[in-house]
Amino acid sequence: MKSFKGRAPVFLAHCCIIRVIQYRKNKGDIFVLEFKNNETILSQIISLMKKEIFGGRLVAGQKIKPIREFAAELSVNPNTVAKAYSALEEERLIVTDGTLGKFVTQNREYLMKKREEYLLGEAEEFMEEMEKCGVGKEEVVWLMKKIAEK
Amino acid sequence: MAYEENRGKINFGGELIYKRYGKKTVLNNASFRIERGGIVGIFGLNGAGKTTLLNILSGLDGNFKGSLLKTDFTDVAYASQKDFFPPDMRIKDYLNFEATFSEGFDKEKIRGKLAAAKISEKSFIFSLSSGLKQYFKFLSAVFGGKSVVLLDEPFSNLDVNLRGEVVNTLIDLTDENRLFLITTHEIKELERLIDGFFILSGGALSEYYDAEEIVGKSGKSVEEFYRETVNEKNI
Repeated sequence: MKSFKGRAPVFLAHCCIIRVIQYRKNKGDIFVLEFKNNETILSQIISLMKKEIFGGRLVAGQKIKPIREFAAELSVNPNTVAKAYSALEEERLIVTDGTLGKFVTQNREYLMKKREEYLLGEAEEFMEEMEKCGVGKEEVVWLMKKIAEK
Repeated sequence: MAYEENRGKINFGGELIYKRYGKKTVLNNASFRIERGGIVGIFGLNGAGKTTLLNILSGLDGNFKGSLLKTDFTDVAYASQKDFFPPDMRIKDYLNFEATFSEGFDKEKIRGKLAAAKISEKSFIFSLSSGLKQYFKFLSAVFGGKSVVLLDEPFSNLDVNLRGEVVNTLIDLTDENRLFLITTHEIKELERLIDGFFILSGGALSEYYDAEEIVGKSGKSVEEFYRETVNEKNI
């Protein structure tokens, strides 16, 4: 058990499949996104936006970036950003207000519901991966506590 | 205002283009058709015939068999690898020259970009380094107000900053009424930017691949997909 101690984070990093899109601060405050290659840019942008919304960095009612501006920041095709926005619109996470632009929905209750759905989904995926490593529920709880204590 | 009228009517391509140099067949009945604007890549190994194809599509090379869908070459801009600038021309002169010829040529935009890259308008074009020259050709082509823009290896010889500039400029300009057809063998640079691509190999063009679709279906990056496809064909 001793050798396992302190290695949990490393172990977790290997197992954990929560899609990590790393932010790296580049000169000034331009965000550079590192995309994963084997996943479509579209789905990565959607999950990035969800994290921004569910993580509270984009709050209810806040205006989201114009398509071209966001595309330039991520160095991706504006079409892809447009598609991501419409997917989020379909999920009613963002709304279009005439010509003013797109905004995060004002409906906080709905946001919280969607957030929980999202987190449950991510946690389930995480759990599945853990199970593949032979980790049971109790051990996951133990690992989580261990991390929380740090 | 031919330029305004033509917008939104992309219909570009060629049928059964056949070209050979001496005994060597470079293009062997290459066909394609693009009806929507956007950023489209033509990927191929060195010597696959990418430049030859662009020379034909731009109207520069009329000596081939087959046919082109679009014959209005005045609406096509081409940033070629070769230089066609008169030897004693300064950047400033070239911009004025182009502006009198083509409507929609956005001289001011180019001047802004040149200033940002610290390229003096007074420089003689021949005196620019190959990277800067490449960048200048790129700017002249994309801000030329044409609805089809052909770019031959736009990233070659460019440093990191200018590569970023090229990418950002393309993001700024792309819309469904304008087609950027880009050849390259450096797919990494374009991977996130393209709507779709063709693979040129064995003298023929593949079907059109939608970039999102390919990555979604195969779980591979565009570059991996390309590499595997090209290698399969070469066996």
